[in-house]
Amino acid sequence: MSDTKNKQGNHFFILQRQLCRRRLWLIAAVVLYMVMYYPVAVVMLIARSNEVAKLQNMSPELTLSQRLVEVGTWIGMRQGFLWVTVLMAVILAIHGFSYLFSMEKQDFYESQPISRMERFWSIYANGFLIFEIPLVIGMFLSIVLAMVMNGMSMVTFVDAMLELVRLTIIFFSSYSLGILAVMLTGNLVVSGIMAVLLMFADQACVALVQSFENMFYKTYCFYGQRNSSFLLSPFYNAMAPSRWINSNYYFRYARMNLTQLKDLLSYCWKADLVSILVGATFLAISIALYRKRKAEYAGMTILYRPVRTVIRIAVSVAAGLFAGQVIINLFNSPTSRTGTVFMMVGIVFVTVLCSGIVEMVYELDIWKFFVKFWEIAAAAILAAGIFVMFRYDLLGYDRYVPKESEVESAALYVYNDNSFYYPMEQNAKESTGDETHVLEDMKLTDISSVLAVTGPGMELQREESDDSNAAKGWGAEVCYRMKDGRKVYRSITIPYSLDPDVLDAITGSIEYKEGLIPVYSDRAVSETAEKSGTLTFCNGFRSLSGNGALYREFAKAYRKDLEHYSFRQMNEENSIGRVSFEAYRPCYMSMDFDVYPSYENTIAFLQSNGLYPEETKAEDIEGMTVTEYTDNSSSSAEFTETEEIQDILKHSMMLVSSNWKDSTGVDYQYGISIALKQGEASYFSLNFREGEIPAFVLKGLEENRVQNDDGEMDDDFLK
Amino acid sequence: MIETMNLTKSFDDCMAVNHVSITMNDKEVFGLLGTNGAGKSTLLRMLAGVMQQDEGTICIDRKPVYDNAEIKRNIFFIPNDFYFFPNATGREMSKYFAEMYPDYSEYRFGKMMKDFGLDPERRISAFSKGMKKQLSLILGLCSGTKYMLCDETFDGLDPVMRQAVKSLIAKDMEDRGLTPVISSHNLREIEDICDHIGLLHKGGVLLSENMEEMKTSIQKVQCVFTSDEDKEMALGGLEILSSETRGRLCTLTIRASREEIEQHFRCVSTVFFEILPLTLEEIFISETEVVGYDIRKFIMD
Repeated sequence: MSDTKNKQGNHFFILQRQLCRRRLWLIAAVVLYMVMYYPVAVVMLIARSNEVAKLQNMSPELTLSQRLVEVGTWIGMRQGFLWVTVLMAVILAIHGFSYLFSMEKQDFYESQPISRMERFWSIYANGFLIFEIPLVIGMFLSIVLAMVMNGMSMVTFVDAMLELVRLTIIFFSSYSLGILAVMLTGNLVVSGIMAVLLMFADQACVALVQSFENMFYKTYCFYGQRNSSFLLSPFYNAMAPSRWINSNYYFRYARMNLTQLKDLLSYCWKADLVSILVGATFLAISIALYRKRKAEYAGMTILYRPVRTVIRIAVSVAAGLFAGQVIINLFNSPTSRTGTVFMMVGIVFVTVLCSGIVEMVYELDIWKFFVKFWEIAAAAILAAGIFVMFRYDLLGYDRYVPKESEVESAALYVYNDNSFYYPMEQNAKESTGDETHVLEDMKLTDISSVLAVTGPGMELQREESDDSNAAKGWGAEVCYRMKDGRKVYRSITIPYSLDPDVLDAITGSIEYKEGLIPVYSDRAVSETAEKSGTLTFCNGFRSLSGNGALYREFAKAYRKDLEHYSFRQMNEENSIGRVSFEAYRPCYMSMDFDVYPSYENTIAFLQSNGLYPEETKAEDIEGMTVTEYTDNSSSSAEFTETEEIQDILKHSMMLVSSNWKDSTGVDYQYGISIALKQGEASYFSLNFREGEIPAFVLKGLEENRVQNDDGEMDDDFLK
Repeated sequence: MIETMNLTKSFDDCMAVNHVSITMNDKEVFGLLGTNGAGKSTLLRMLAGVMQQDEGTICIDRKPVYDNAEIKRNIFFIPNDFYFFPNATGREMSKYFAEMYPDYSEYRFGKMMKDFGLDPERRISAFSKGMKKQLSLILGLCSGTKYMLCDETFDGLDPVMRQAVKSLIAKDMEDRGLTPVISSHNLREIEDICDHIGLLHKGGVLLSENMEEMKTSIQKVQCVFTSDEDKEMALGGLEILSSETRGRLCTLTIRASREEIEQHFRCVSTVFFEILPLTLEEIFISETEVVGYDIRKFIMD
């Protein structure tokens, strides 16, 4: 019958050709993006760099560096457009397999002489090739153009190659997720929603849990909330470099070297490995579901009842808990009785409502609200159960103190009134704060002493959260590094009444000092920063500054004095001043070091270098202003007579540092500011000792209060 | 040969095809009759390998069809709503099928398009419903497959086109042994082309008969007997499907050959005796009434 037999070529290529013909719009969109993003944008970026360099008369080295930064941050692992890859992958997946949503198309395709698996792999490969071929060509074109325009180095090249591999991994995992979304659903809209659910469910779950922990757990520590390097979501894992940059901000716009690239990679590889595993798992599930899939599923919402049940319950529970958070914002305390009742009712109501709506959407029928009532009931019970679990701490989060034998090491970070911000040991171009430094690097091995502090600390933290007005201890954070690799963080309040011997055992240990005070880990500071830094000593009244080159000598003297560093020493002595070191190169750093009367070596260093101001006497003071703070207002009185100033100085004290000080003995209701005769103001204010406020001060404040009241009355009258 | 054995397919609680056992011989036109919802499309989808049966077996040339690319090279399925690529022309569809079916003839496609007055370069989206049906039939005939499954394909065609297509099918049957399976909800649309009829109702097969055999095995007799004894003697041993008496004139539908009936009546005395030709409709009505159905209301509208 047929005039000629058709020459059947390689089936794979025939199918690819056919698929490409029908996906021309998508191919055009992907190609356009790749062309614009890679060769075109790279040429523009290099041209812009050259232009800027010309305008600013940059040296050839700096201009090259600028070009490499521009190219590296655009096509390397720090690029910010990974979400486009994720989006493309999901669109290509859903578009490729969307024929399964239509009976008409299935009649057409499934009746043709191609096996189901052959069709699956053809579509799968087609989506992959539509993305991968323009990506590879675009990337190589941009590399060649960058080379031609002198904007490429070996590190940038390796960076770009690594990014090419990462983009392929991200595409693979997102593409598999998109296919799974299709295999679980029967129409286009629902498959899109399913893809979003699969992509963001774990992040939403983590966010919900963290917000509930923060809301109800009194010992919850924000530091422990830091983003993990990976979750299951391909989108989350794709953003691993962004998270690394957020905690190492300098690298966003820096010219990287191989070591830094390795650092970035060492953070990302786990996320990428998880992406590969997740992608492979999703693909395997998709294949199994595809083999099982029946043609008559076309047009349905979610195909499998167990999946429907899981999603219905999960979505409605999440919605209920989210609603609970919105409701609780209306109350001052989430743990109040009224707040608890409203939250419980709100959570259950929204969960039931959402559960009904989900079923209505499944069936596209408004009368299906109460269908499968057990699912509604299960969701409501689960949501209420989760709420109760957090609200009443059924898991014992606030009571958790690990066993000594389980802890490898610990870190104790006490909230101090001085702070450190200084270069990391491993990377002098990046600064870190004292909280990060302590919680990451302090390794206390005397676990029994740590537990002797954290046990009562947890207890007091629970009490203080209920009655935050009465401070009974020092706020702190503890990190337990468990032997099984976990890190457990808690916020605690160390009671003022705790046995000083226990605190001495911790604070006096070299592990504590090395983990807290930067003079023990200042190699980077000593080597680079001292050339551009400033060393300043301030005794509260006056300050004197010297060259940063003095830092090394100061650190030596200070380290010697720190041999006697302990809780008791700081608690019993009053700081006589503070040494500050500040520098801006190679990165910003700022460090405060408290000086106590017993720090003889430091004092001798300051004196010998002309950094120790003379003692300030009453005669040096122009005037003092005492301010009384009450709940709703404040009143002030000024004192300029030398006798009055002498009397005030006699009954007051200057707290340059309040580290490890309790609030007893000081009257914080009154503040005393000082104006010196040279026209300067003092750096710190004074506070009266408890019960030692001179009568003339009280009288002066009283008079001024009356005058102020009169003034207010006049004002009111005039109004 | 297409054989189904105890074929069953259900959608949720609805049994679409209920234990259907049918045999479709090569080089015969099999007509699949039934009302909307009778299960015709589902049965054809299973025969085309689009749907998988819940129970039973389908064998085409002794091989299962579902997910069997080798067997599907011999099958072209023309569903009620044939899918054409968006913005595609007839020529593009033809090229697509040329790559799918080894015996597809693009030359024949061009010729048939011309014969049917269809422009192969025109976008299919601009075609009328009838033109799309014609195009799908042309593509099916050009595919050169042994089996062509047509789901209500003739329903949208005008009488002239229907005849043209029927003659093309007949020619292909003669030339290359085409075996068409044609479903319809209207017997009159396909009675002149079918060799074998399967009647589906509510998922089950009411009957499956060869047309020729059906026509020769059932006769309509009008007669006036001289006495009741003669009547008893004449009809004794014959299978009477229906009987109607007006005055002395009896109209009978009898399952027997013409010769057999004549032999029975030769022995008795009749005032009047005549064997009348039976229309296909009448045969169907008689056959289905026997099993308790009145098909007039669902396939003779």
